[in-house]
Amino acid sequence: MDIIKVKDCLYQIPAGSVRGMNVSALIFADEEMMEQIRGDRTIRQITNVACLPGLVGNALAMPDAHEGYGFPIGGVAATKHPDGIISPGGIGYDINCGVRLIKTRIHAEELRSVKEKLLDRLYGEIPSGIGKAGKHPFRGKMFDRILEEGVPLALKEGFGDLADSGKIESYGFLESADRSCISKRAIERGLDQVGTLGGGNHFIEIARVDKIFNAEAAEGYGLFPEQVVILLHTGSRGLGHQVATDHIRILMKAYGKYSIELRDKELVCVPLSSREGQSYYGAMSCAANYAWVNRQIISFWIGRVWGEFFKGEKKELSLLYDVAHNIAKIEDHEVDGRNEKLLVHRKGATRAFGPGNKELPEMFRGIGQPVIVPGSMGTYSHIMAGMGEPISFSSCCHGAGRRLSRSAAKRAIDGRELIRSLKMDGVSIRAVSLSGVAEESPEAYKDVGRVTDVVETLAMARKVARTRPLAVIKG
Amino acid sequence: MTAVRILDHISDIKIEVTAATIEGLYRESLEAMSSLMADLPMPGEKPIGSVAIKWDKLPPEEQLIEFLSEAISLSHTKKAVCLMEWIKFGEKNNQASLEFFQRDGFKTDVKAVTYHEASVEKLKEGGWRSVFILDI
Repeated sequence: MDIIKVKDCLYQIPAGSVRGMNVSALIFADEEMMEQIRGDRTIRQITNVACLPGLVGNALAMPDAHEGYGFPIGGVAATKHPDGIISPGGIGYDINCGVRLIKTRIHAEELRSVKEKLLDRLYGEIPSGIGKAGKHPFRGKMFDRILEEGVPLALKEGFGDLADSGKIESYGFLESADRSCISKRAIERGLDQVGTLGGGNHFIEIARVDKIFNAEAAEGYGLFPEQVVILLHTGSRGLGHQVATDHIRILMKAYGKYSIELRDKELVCVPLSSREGQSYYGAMSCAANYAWVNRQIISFWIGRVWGEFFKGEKKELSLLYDVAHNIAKIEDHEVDGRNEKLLVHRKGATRAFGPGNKELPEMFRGIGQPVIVPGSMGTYSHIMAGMGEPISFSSCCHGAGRRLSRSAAKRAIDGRELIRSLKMDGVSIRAVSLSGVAEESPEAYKDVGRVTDVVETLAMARKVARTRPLAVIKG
Repeated sequence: MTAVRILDHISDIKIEVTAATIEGLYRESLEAMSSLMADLPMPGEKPIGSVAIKWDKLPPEEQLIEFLSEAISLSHTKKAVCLMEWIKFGEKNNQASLEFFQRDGFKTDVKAVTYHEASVEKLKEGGWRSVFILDI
């Protein structure tokens, strides 16, 4: 297979290099990352994506890309709206798994004396792990409305500051949500999970801003050195998983009638304008709204606990931004000099709109959309500003990207020893299981700094600030 | 000849199961998945109930995925781990009964079983083999 180095950090697999490739695949990576990418099935998976019908531009693999199923993790692809295809495999089962960053008004030094007690209270207050119920389940019609109306409704119900919705991608709700496309079983799985963290790589992290790269942008985002911030990573829980399962089943029966051929059944797809496509998009949008509400409710409880420890203006928390990692959305992008409406699939990738984008609220139009790139519990995370790179459909990385499989991490790392060594480095951990800690150890991930270097080199986003963890709750 | 192997996969869990019969393959595939989700029942542990499921006749790998998907969904809604009681393969559809054992929570968040490179094959030397990836 031809893999051409186009320039630093950009590789191309031309259309046709593999039989059935309709468009080229682009991989954004430095040489070392490229070696890792060659070592798993990322290339096979991104070339499979390039075989999907009706793609616009290129099939894309972000710098944190690694083997997944269907799309690789870190895969992005756009199709024409409204007749291009939609593929649940380009979104994943944890619909709108995403991350938000909450700003505090205190310095790291002020946290020191209360950190352990605060962490215990948060761990006690916010259900983590799998199969745990939330504290404020919405019932009946209110639950249906949450699915269709998302965060703005949760805010009206008192779960946060009304100003928050502007600081959430798509303002915390997708209008395309249609409750009638959701199965009874999906509702059953989601009903008591609003406000729960879940397991896997989901987390709450208290961190400090340890480096400012761009003082002007940092000031614009309200970030300052040594500031304590809180990162929250979770998604649409069982409801999203069931939506994906239900609709993949429907699409498996339907795709044949649209004369679609698949190289990988996990990439099953139908035209967005078809009955099945509209039904999946309506259901996916409900799951996305649910995920945003989930993060909003957890943030509300974080705020409550925070208020037990800090008073006056130090009690105040505010949202920097909330970004989705697993989603498909209709967006305007420039294609061959023309503005076109596209359906952009992002699976393990972040939207990174640049300055001037009209979808952004006024407060971010001068700087660009905040992009939050979590690293691992022992290293650091980055806050970046989107630059709206057209070739990536304004997308960039979503994290560090895994380097070791979960089983390899568990074999190599002792969870108890890791907690002890992180504690020595000033990072306190609360976790449901030791094996879960080992799976998410810093050694299991790539260096997030190198990933964001590639993103910056290719002008997808620029670095604004870096944070280091102080305390982590691992779901 | 029953065997379960966890194969290397960087972000999720890839499982290979071999068994002497197709019924055994379904039983062992479910047990392998359930054991990741929660502790399997102790000898003598009473189930909280059982559920009969029915699904269409499909290509072999899709058929197994349907079966496992149903087990994941039911395990989450019942907050229980499940094992297979019996299975019947018919001309047009298949039926099985799943037994559920209550659990307080799950060890691993098994979100779904995926179609990606899933396979079910009859082995030349006899017996059956399945490979599937669980999204966790």
